[in-house]
Amino acid sequence: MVTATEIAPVTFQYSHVIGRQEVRSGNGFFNPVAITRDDNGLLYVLSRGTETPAFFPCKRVTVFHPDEEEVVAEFGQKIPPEDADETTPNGSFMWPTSVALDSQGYAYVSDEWLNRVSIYDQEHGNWIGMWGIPGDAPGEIDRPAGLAFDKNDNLYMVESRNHRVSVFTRDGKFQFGWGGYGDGDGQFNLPWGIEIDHNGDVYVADWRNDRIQKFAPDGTFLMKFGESGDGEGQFNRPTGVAVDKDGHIFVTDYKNDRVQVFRADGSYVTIMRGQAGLSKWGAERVYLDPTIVQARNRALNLQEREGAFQGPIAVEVDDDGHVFVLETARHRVQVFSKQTAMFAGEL
Amino acid sequence: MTATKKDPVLVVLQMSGAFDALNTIIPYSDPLYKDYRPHLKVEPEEVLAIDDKVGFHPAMAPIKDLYDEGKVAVIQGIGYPNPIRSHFRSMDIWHTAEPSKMATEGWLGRAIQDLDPNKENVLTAVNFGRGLPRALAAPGVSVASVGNLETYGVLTGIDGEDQRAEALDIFSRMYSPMVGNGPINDYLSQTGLDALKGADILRTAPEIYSSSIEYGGDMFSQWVKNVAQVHTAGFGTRVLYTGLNPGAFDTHANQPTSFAKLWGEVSRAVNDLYQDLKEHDANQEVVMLLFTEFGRRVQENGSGTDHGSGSVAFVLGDAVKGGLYGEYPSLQPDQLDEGDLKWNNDFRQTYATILDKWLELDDKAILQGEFEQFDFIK
Amino acid sequence: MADQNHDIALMAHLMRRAGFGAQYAELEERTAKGYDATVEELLNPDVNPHGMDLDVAERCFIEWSHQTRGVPEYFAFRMINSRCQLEEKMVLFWHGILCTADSKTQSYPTSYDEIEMFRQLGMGSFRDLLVGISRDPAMIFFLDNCLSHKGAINENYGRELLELFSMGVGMDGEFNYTEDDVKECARAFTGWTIANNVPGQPYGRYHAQFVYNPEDHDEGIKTFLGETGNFNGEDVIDIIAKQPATARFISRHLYSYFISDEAQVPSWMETPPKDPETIKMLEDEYFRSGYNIKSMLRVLFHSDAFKNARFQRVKSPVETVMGTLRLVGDWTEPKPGFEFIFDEMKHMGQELFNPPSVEGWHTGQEWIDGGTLVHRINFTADFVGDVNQPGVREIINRLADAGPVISPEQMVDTTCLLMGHYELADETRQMMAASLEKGGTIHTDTEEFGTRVSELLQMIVATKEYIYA
Repeated sequence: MVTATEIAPVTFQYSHVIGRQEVRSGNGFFNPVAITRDDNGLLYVLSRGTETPAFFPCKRVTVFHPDEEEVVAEFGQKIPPEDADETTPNGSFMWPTSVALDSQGYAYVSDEWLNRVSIYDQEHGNWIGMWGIPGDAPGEIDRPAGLAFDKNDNLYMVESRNHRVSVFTRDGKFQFGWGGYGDGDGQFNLPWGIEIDHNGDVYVADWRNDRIQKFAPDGTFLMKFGESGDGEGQFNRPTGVAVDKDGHIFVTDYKNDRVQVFRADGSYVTIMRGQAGLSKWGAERVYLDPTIVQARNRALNLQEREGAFQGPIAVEVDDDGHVFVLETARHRVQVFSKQTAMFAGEL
Repeated sequence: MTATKKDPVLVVLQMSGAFDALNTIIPYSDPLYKDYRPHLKVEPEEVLAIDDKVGFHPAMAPIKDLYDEGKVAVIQGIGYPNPIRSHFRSMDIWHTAEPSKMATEGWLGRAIQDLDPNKENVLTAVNFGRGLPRALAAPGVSVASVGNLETYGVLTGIDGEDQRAEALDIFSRMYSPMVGNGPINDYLSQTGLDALKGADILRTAPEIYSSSIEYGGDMFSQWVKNVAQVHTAGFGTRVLYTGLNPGAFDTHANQPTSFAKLWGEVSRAVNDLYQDLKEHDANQEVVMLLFTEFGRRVQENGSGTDHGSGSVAFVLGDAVKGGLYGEYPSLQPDQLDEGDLKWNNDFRQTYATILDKWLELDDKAILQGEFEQFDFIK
Repeated sequence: MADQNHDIALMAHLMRRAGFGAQYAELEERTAKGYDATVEELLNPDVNPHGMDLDVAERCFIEWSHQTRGVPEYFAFRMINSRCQLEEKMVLFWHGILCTADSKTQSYPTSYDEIEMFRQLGMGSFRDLLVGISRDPAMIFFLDNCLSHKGAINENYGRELLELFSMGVGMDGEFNYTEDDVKECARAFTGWTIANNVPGQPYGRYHAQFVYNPEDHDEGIKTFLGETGNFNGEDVIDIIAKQPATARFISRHLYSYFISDEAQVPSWMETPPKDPETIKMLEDEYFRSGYNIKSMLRVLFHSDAFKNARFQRVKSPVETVMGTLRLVGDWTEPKPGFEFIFDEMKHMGQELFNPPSVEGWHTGQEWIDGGTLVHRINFTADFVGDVNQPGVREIINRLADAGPVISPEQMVDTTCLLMGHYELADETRQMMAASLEKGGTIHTDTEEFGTRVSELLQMIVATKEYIYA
């Protein structure tokens, strides 16, 4: 039997784009790797930044309003590599990977070089604490990647080099975990992003296995989809995953430079390839400088080249059908809204 | 030149990252200035006025003090043809004095060849910083490049005084031209022994030096202190070079804070150096050149400024006839060069003046061309 | 044993020249496979695994995956870690001859495309490589071919193509081409240009794209090196490729890079090759193989001239730094702090992606002056002096295998072998042994032994002998 949801075409209307390349603080990002959203609709974007040159102060979390495109807070800072050891100042980043918010709005940032989670308060982004013990025993962590909170403030952490998911309380007390290296069900190969849906089920971007795995909240394997390749339903290093209230699953298919959308059962729906124009923050920069305006006017295939996703690395959704796609190589968030046909069925 | 006059010495201070000329020497009475700089403008009452048109940024008080004593030439509107807004390429142009094509020899490298044609002094030129700026490079010119004067030398990683002394003893013996037969053995021997000798001499500088001046704790101030230490030690060094770390003045954002901090540190270090030299009765034989690779956009970008052209440079010292040189570029929109200050004097005019009137070298040969000179040297 | 020593010494030599050096265990392993087999493995990177986890490296250095930044670091990481060492060494070779500088081009994505082009074409037909570099957006911008138009040529690329990329000014005292040839060459390349790129603001740099614009191509008759026709760029390259001067030029470059330092390029018209016989052999192979670089390299690596040329070249700064890191086994995995490594090569006089001019780097003796020598020695000594480095640990362990006590002479000699069969002058060797002697009997089973080895290693890398490869 053909169900209504399968006939009803789902499309994504491009809304706008937020961001620009910004080495320092302010209206922009620098090689962002993670995005999350708070209950008030503010977006948190984590800029991982680059290694070189060392004097670029490019690592930070930027908190901003996605409609007004206004930065409301920033926190975290880069440390020089020679200080990236046990003496690292509190609150600073070396290789930050993810940001997640607990029910009270505290921000948790994982760092895969320092093997720790740093916690910042809601209002000013002040550092208030951290935890993390390097290692591979249960409760120890090696290369934390994606972070996600469940409704009870349990923090689900993907550990890429331990190839597993570990669940902690907010203050770092280990609860339970699952996984291990491999390509069998429930095993991982350098996993990255994580998402918890409205039912509490857990999705992991199993990066080097080129697939998404879904688990029950307690880690019981539920399903998987995807394989290596660049066809529909295939992945080349999936990094991020998000699930909306209708159960649609969004996956950033990183090295294929696209986002794929799946139904709740893992079946393929569509591909998004990006269509960014000039962002508000980008325009602030461009119109200051007549030479950039001229260069844009004469550039070959500007719209096509500028619009396309380049390094889509993380994705976030809200309950109003918005999809926020974060691109690391273009330092921006493309915003789309989901359109479901009003009518589906027979006359 | 009298027989008792000491050899003229040049100290070059490189302000990497391109400082914002418009907020360095500020045209505070021009109403357009405020229009271009709604956030970054310095209020007229804060400017350290030179005259009723321009003045120093408030963080530059220590340099302004020297200016008031008539020891600072301000070269306004300095630049070069067809300005390039790449830090690296533009710095290269300043180093090689060759704006139209890529060149390998530095202007000071050639000056050093002339200062010490028979390579009699291994310390004719000394650089403080990591790596040698191309300005000092020329065939056959060996320049000591010192990251840390206290520990400068070869095999600094060998711990223990005795072990290190032993290692250096072996080093000097194994670099004897009598040992080995590689393709360039003699040259390597000479270079190795010169380096060892230079290091031996340089390391004595901090021991000889004493001064009442307390330099700032930042790296630049420490290097400037090293300049004073080496000069006052009397090694016969004629060119001393140092600068800020790459990108320091590259104020695309948060300019008000970082710009004032940097100029505060730099100005203090410059004044400290002058006072230090004076304390050692060594102020008369030293002239300083302070420059940056280009200017920045006249129109601010909100919290900072982007790459531009048309800059300002400073020449300082007792031998300098203080005052304003060049013209302040017009801020009228139709007088800007694609939104930048338009340069009106070639940086090689300043080089030519220093080479000819101060170091008494053949500026035309070194710069490979003739440039109209200023009269900022007494 | 003597034979095996000889074989390992030769393998160490091959790996220093055709690569960036190798640890002793790799030398043993490759020696067991044999010299010829190793040469073939090195010559065929396309069929051999490079043995690096670039996937993970790109994840750690996130900017590598789209080449928006970090391209020099990426290149260096490959030099350190690729098992296909010759592939990287040839990329560096061409980077030093077919030069562009990032200080002008300011586009890492476009520089990345250039080195990938070298990787694809660098061991194939030299003719194809010349076509590749003529279509290379970084080069077109760097040497202003995008400013060369029908009726208003810019000679820059046309000239350097002849002077620095293929034939050289002259050979055996005669000029290879005339000023008219330069102009005609430039005319043939009119219309070889680049698309107006998306600007780097606000979203970062984009890869530049080659465009052939027939409207701007000069369709007139040209006379180039004695041949006349309506030549386009590829026709001119066909003519260049078959010149004896081109065979000579490339042979001398290969000789200087792999065998023994030649005179600097600008003097080649007047200064004959050091070793005319070997050059002749390479020239012959150039024509025999249809301009094939790989075939020339095969002849080179099997030549007596190559095998007998141990320690006849001054190591470049890149070879020094990469060789040291490979010797001590550092940077086998991504970690923070790579910038330091770049600064070191720069301070020693070789900044990747920023050759001092279109002539590339001057080599041999010109690498060394007082400042660069101190940097070179101190950098190398700091790394080999670190007993926590796996490669240093390995040397210590292998020395200890000799027994509980080792004589000073044996310790110096064995250490030199383990570093890649370095050869010290007798006097140097005796000085080191005498110094060890002063420290008393050398017990290999003590903690202090590691320190003594590390001090010896630091002394060895400070020698004049170690400056050569």
